[in-house]
Amino acid sequence: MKDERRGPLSTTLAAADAGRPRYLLVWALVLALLCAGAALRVALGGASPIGSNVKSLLPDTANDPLLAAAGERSNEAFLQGMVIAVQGPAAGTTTAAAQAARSALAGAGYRIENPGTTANALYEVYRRHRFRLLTPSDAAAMTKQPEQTFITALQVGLAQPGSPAGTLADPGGFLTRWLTGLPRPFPDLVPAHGLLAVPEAAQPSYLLIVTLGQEAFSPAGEREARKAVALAENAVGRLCAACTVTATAPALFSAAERAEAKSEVLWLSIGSSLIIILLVLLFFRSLRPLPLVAAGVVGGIVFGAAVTLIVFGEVNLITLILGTTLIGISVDYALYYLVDRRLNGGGTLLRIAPGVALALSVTCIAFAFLAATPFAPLRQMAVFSIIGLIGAVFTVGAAFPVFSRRWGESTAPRIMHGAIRMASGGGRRWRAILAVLLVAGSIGGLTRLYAEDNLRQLQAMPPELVAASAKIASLLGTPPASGYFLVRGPDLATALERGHRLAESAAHHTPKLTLVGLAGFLPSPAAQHKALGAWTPLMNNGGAALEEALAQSGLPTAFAKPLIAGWPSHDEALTAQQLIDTLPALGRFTVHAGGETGLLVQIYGKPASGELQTLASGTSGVMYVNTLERLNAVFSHIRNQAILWVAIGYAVTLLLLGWRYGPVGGFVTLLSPLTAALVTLGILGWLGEPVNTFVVVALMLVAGVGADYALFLHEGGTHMASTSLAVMLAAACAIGSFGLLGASRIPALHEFGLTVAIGIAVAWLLAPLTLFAVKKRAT
Amino acid sequence: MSQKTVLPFRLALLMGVMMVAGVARSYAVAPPTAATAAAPYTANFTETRTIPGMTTPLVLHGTIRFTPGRHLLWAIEKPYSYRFEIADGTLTEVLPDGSRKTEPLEKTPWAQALFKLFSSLLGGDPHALARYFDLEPTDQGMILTPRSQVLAKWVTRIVAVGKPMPHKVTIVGSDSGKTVLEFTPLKPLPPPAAATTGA
Repeated sequence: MKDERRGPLSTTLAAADAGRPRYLLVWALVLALLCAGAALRVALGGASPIGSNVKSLLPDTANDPLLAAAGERSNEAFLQGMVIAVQGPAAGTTTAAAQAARSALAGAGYRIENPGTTANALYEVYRRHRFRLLTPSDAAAMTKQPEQTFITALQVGLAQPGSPAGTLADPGGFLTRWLTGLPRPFPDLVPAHGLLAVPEAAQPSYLLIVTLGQEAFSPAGEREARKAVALAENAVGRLCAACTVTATAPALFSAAERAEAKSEVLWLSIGSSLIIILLVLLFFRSLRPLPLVAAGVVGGIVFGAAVTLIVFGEVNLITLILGTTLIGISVDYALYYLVDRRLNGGGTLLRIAPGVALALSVTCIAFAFLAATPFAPLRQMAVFSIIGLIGAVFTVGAAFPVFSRRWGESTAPRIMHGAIRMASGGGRRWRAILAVLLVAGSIGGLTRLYAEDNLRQLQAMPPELVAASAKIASLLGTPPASGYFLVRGPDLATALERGHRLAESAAHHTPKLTLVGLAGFLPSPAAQHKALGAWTPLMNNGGAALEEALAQSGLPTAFAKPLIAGWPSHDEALTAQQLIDTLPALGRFTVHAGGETGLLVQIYGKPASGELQTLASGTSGVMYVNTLERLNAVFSHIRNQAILWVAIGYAVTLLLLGWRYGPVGGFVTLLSPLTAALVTLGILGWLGEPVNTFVVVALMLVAGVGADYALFLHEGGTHMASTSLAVMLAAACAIGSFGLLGASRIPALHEFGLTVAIGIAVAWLLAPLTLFAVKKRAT
Repeated sequence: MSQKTVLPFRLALLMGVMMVAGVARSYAVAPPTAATAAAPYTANFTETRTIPGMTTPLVLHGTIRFTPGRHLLWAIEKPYSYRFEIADGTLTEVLPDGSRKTEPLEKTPWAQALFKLFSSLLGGDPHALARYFDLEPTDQGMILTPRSQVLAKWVTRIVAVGKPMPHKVTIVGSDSGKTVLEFTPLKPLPPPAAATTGA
């Protein structure tokens, strides 16, 4: 190519190829600016730069502020909770050990409620308003025949050994019956010794309910949770060697997940790096390319991470881990340069630029469509990948010529020539045969494919934590249903009224479920009024009618005295605020936002399919909110959206390739990655792996990388030998890196890695087969 | 960690609250095992209630018919008539005014708890009692102190006299009131040694 035909880009490439350091300076300046910007963004945000809160992935609920506030409140309660179980063979030592654990935790500043004290405080509030608290049947009977009802109830209470209904504290047991009707999500637990005992457990067992001060998905929250477990274990261990401590908390899962992710990032990086080092050593017989390969990879990751941080304020763990797989792609560009440089000498950038530019464009197009999805990690991944790949190319273009300019020319190692023969030589026949076999074999697998989108795929679930969780669930007895009801109203009174209607509907239609919300602890004003009215005939005139009824029945009139003394001198209804003042935790059932009041109602029991939705739809102002289902639905939606966008991405890519290679050439070029995707799906079907959002994203990557290989080869021109070798080395690196990811214990990463590794292997196999149809446009 | 798997941390909000509702439930002891389900125990009893501030105690007379784990009939005959019967998971009451009430046992925690208490106490199953009470053996029987803070609001202790089968049970209330149950067996249970499972 003559100088006078060069455009500005070619001139720039030629200048860069000459190893002028000014491009390296520009590269360093851009990198420094991006890093500074990211640091500033993190500092201003004040949060951890690495996020692991899966629920933060939910779509924005800004159009419904009350729902958003309820979700936030539900999250807080969920994320800051912790349950510790202390169990032992002997009652005495287990009790002492559990109390020691409680003291140790309280002494260290952890919030642990004394359930007995709380219950007593609440009981006192109810006792003060006892005349407003009657069960519906008691209220009806008292309204109809107050004297007769009271006397009969007292006679029954006196006849029942040990019943509060036969004591001065609650003559007739009216208050006790009302209290018995309160929501009891865990009826088998009793407060004992300042703890929660589980009398029906196989061995003496206590539960400690701890509220953590920090949110679970933060390093501080995780440390706090782990420290709590350690404190409890030490305290218990000192008093009872045979006792066991079991704990469960979102923070513990989060800690395990973070540790798992860190460990995986570490070994993935080490593994990928080792593969690259070995390949470089094997083929280049020199250590000189290694720093450049590392610079290309690290440059890409730093560019990607910095821009992601600037745009999003944090990098989600999933993004980060998937981002490390950029190693497998960005190394393509580095190897393409280095192999060409080694085999063909100077002027490398000019030679590889068309291939790299086309490949980068195709990959970026594929990732750009991810950015259109409403799923934060996918958007993050799109930004991370696009900028990371551009950064990797920038690094290759700016830094590689500078550091390789003194390498000079030398004979390529013999292994390179051997590999070239294998990569570009007469292997097309066996490639074609293998391709046909793979396509034929994959058809059966395609029929076995199934789709499954599940939040759990994002998380590593350490078996020991899952077992601990199950053990504590069995001690609690009642399984919590997934999700909650949100009862909304323009004010608290309306919301409570709707909450009561929901409770009535649930009692009628789903009697086996327990609903726990503020309305369950507070009778409606109408019910309170009715109860007070039912007592009034007995209590008017200083309780004369009550005393007379007792005297006539032969029962001691002393039973009237505590009731007469407690009869309210003025009309003071029991209010939500009184309950919340007594037990602030109840306040967490209410939220206010957007000019509305919402009540959160938790559900315990095993609802039948669709039962909760039906219950919610049957009551005005009530909605059933299931975060897990919403997340899974989001995943499914994203998968479908991703498939659509991938199709659009391919169409755009086809246009680009058609412009470059003609309609047939463009189509055939695209056929290679498409066939690779199809075969990969078939193999996944045979392996029993589900298709989900991550598999779809992986297939997008396969498409991008597969197209890269075909494009590199098409653009190889006179330097086809070096291109074929570069493609082979790049494929080996990618298969190695993604294959390692396929061994991840996080299901989503495992599926992602497996899909990409299989896809790239097939794409590499197929890429040379597309060469026959390509006729390039003049550059 | 899924919300479903990872668990009911939400209970942190509720723990104190729901305890109030478990008042009567706190009596509960483990259900008797098959081995304790022996021949019915039948006895006359006298229930003497001493109420604070009253000089004369209230005395009730009745009969009990009891098959551990299966059936309990508690019938007051004097000075008024009242009976409750627990069988097949159902509580049936005949009230002093002659009306009848039938409810599932699970909806009447007090009756459920009493049934279990009798099963353990009269069935001679200290292990089951120990789940809910601190037990203190005495020369004549044992003293049961409720471990539940809620139950302790009403009952400070239960004193059982008679070995192996208690013939007198005193329930001491936190208001210093007392209920004394004295049994005169008509048809005793088999010896507790044979009836106890050692659970």
